[in-house]
Amino acid sequence: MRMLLWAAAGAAWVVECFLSWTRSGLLAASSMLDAARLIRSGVLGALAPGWVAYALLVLPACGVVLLGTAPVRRRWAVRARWLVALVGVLAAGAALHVLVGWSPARLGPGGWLAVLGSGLALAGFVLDIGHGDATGPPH
Amino acid sequence: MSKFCGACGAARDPQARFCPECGAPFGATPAPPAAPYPPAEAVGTHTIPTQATLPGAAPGRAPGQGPEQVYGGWQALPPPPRRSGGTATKWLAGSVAVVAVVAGGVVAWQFLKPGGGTGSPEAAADKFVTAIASQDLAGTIESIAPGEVTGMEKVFDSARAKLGHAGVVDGSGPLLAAADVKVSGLKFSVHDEGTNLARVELTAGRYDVTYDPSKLPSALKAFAQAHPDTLHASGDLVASFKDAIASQGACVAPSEEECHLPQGAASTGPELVAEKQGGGWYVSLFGTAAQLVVDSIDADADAGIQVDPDFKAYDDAPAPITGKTPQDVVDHLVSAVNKQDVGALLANLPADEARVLQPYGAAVQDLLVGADLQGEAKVDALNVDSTAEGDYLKVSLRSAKASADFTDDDGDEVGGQLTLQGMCYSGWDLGDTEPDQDCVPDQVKRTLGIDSWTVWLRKVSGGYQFDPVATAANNAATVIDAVPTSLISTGVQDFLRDAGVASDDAS
Repeated sequence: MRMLLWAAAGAAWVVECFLSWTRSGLLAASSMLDAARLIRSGVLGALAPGWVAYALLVLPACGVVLLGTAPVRRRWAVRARWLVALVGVLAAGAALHVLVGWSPARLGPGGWLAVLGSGLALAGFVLDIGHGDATGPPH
Repeated sequence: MSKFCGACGAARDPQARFCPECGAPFGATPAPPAAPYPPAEAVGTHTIPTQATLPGAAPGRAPGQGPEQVYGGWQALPPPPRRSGGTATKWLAGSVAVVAVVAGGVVAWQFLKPGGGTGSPEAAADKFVTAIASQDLAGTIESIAPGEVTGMEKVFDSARAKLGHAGVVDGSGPLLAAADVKVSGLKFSVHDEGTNLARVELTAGRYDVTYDPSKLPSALKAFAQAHPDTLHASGDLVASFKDAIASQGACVAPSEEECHLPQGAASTGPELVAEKQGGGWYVSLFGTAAQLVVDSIDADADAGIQVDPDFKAYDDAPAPITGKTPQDVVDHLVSAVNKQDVGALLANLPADEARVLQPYGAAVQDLLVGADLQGEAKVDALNVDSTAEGDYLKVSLRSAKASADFTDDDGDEVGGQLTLQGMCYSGWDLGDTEPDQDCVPDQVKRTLGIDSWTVWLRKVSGGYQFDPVATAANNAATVIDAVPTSLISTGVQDFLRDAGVASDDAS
């Protein structure tokens, strides 16, 4: 069950980067990946510095890590998931603040998936704590 | 060392000290049969066996007991049953790991792959229309040919910042937050005009526009209070376009009085021109604008003109014409004008901007041949300051003298002379008796932030070419940054006054 929760959170965070993030305005007809590619190619260079292109990939990168470590129950994997989940939730929060100003009415499918992934990651964390995984078998 | 756990039989990791399945420590000898319970009559008075008294017991643990079980000295628990879902769990875990690797690869490939654009002309058109309707700057820029938008995001950002300071735009939402535009049911028909060029005609689609005054920016709050009703409009995109074309028409008569409206109707829906660059399809704004002009002219029955773009001219475009210096660039442009060679004129501009116009240039060429113009233009005494800015050369004009003298087949002369000195000009048309001269006022120069006529040349293979997009974008960004916010605020107040609405600001 916990493995599925973590895997679902990771999958949500990966898929969100392919979908439009908002209902109107920036990223209403394009995705985070589109924006990252545009910034990296310099087309949006006046709007954002080059490092922003990589910052936009933090959330899907966290998703890939959660997906990859979801089946592993070792203590190091559990701790790594918690850390990655924290980074992912912070990244999702930053994107929500910048793009939609925390307004749910302006969220598009990508934004909702990011929120869902954050919720699933939080649920996975709570279940891990409740299951005592912090003191689980050492590596 | 056994390869399996002695307690539950699960496969053992040689490096692990405890079984991942049941938690039993590795290294324990297999448990002997459990000791029998003490006789019933001794339950109330029995002596609890110690660890040492139970045969085969490892110190601290009873055979088959997990680490969390408290040693109680009673009959040892039987080993836990072997988990029947162990294999299924492993398959699921392996599958999830594979999915993770694939997902990571796909994300990385999409991010790092060269080029952009969409896979087809209709996908480019769909993305363009949808992005425009939803006011998505990134989506719009992504769908337009790269050469036509380079630098335009700087203009947009400057404009947004300036309007934000003036209170005309709020927050980070869309520029026109009060207008919510939705397009749906878009269908396109593609007319291929070569390997890398296509006309994409919109054949079906609907629009729905909702205007909500409560979302107007703070500077227009008074207007929203005076007109608080939400408005809604919807309709057919194709029909609306045809009506617009019919009501505009295209006037190519020599004078305004000879134009007649409305005369014709567009025979096709709106057409976008799509161009393939770097392996991906984009919408070309220049090509689309040229096609719109062609469609408008063709729709004006009174004009009696049919413009036929020669789309073969796209593939047969002349080789790029470049100059080593700004003087060379100007000389090549003037030479093309004198030869009345539209194709050569376009070849002086960056190919990713101008090549899409070659088919329409061929049509203009035919009109020029018909006009039979004779004469020439000249640019003398060109004096400029050049500054390299990355891939561009910023060229500021200090002085120049230009002249043109053309005669058409009716014997009518067209031309004149122009002398530029800084931001002052002196010139006359043929037939004038004295020159017209003036300078751009200092107040205007300060307001617009411009102190010289400036163009941008792009560095390409073989030299430089005049870049109209970069010139327009950089000059626009300079002007927008320089325009005082108070000027915009004054404009807003004037609008509110004209609309009969009292504003909240005293300014």
